[in-house]
Amino acid sequence: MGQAETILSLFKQNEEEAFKLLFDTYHDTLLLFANQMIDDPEAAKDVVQNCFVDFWVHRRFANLPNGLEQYIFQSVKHATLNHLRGEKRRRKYYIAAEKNERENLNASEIEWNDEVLYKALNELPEERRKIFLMICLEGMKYQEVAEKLHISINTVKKQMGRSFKFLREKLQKNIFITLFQLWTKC
Amino acid sequence: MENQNNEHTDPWDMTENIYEILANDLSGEPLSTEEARLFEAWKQAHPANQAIYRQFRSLMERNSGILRGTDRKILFERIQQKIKKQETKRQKQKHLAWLSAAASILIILGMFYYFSDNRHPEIKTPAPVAQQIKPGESKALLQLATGEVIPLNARQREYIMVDSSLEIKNKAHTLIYDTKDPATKDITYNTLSVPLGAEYKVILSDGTKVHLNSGSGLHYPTGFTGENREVCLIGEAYFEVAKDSLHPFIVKTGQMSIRVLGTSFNVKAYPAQEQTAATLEEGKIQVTCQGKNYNITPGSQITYNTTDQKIEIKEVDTELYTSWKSGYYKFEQMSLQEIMSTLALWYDLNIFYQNPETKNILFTGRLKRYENVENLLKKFEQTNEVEFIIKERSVTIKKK
Repeated sequence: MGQAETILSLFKQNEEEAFKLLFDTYHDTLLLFANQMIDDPEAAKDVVQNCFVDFWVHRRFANLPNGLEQYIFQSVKHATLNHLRGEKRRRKYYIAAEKNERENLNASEIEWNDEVLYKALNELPEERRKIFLMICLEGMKYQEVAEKLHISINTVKKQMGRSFKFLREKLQKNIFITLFQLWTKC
Repeated sequence: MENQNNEHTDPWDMTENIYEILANDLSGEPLSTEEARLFEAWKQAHPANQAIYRQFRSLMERNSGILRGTDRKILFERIQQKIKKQETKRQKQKHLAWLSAAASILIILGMFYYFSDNRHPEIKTPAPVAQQIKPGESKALLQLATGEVIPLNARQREYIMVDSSLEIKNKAHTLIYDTKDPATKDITYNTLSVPLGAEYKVILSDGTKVHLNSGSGLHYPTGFTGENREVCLIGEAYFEVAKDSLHPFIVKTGQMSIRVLGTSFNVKAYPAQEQTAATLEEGKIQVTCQGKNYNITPGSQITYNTTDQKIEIKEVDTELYTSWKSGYYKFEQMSLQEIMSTLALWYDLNIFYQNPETKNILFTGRLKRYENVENLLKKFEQTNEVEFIIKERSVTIKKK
């Protein structure tokens, strides 16, 4: 839980540094989150960047009743949905989300579930998270990661295995039922 | 039923290293035949495994390599550029709108004094030329949201406006706002303009006191309803902001935006002067200038110079910058040019320098704000450094 609070307390001392730390901590996972919905990397990058811009320009850190992480994921989510609406590209995700709402599933629960995976990524230990993002976002091979970080391929493999184990545990707790309903109905 | 049985055996953890195999597959690494067999068996073991696998695969495939070879530093810089662009855009839009309003006020102001002078010719006494220069007094013009402009002075009726949600009083050179229904949805804006050679005070609906100096204008909502309490200023004003930690008070000027929760400070932002300055007496303020934020501590001053675009923060004797509100000017090792630009605003003078080097002569002293300008300038002459030639509203400064 520490990171979000660390960032917020840093905002009270040094806003510029806090903003940089916010970027370092959340940029990649927010991008994953946005692109997962939009499926257009350039648009997703824009959406995430604009959310950071909005966060700073409107000094959102000064008033976050639901916490930093909740806020920043919500803001990216809203921006993403706006983008999808704007583009009139009613993608599978969007239709699925609407469908669920129509079927009277608890809407707030679904919203919350959507972000679980990405928030879980932020809970990974630093090194493990780094490896995961190198492989996923940067499309690196185990071999390349091992060379870049001066570790063995076996370590990369073990770390990736642990990441997926952790993510699955998180998903199992929070998303399992919703996911299942979503996919069996689509 | 199946779910319940499986909760004990945990179908996901068939073998110790199933997640490494899963990771290999998702990362595009090759699987050995044995691994591929275990993986197939795992997928078949439970529909949930397949669901999870599909979720992971979608994540990995959709996002694979979207940041390939991208330096995060460059991404961060792009965000900072966008911020800078937006902040200047926002400021420009707001100020353009407001400055045009202020400009029209000043035109009306000019007309008002022109006509009021002509309407009462009998009051005018043919005075010696130099005596026409009077110190400032308490007068101002108030423009209501309706566009109506009301001249304010000491003899003004007490109630300017009273309706169900808002009461505006004018008492002892002070305009007082009282919002009865703070939840009222429609915010209206008023503008208080103070001509050259005048000053006026206003107490805003939140209790914040603003003392406006000569040739200044303040644009403010009659009631504060939003997240922030925002006002716009041109010229100089001393603020005593009422404490409200939930609603930051923001003063916007052409070059700076000053953000506070409750404190006293002076802002000097005359568009005709190249320097904008915010001087903090007590409390804490945060100043945004040129897209950057600065925290200012009591006894400090931040200045921005439009000519060299330099931002400077230094410790100062705040009295030098706030004494005007108490009816005197305090100077300490201040250049004649700086002193005269202050006096010019108060006495509405045009200053000319015959010898440019006199601009840089430093003076220390205390002057009464409501004193006759001749007596005041005599004090400078007593130093035997300079001489003043006063002709109507023009003062020419000569080296002695």
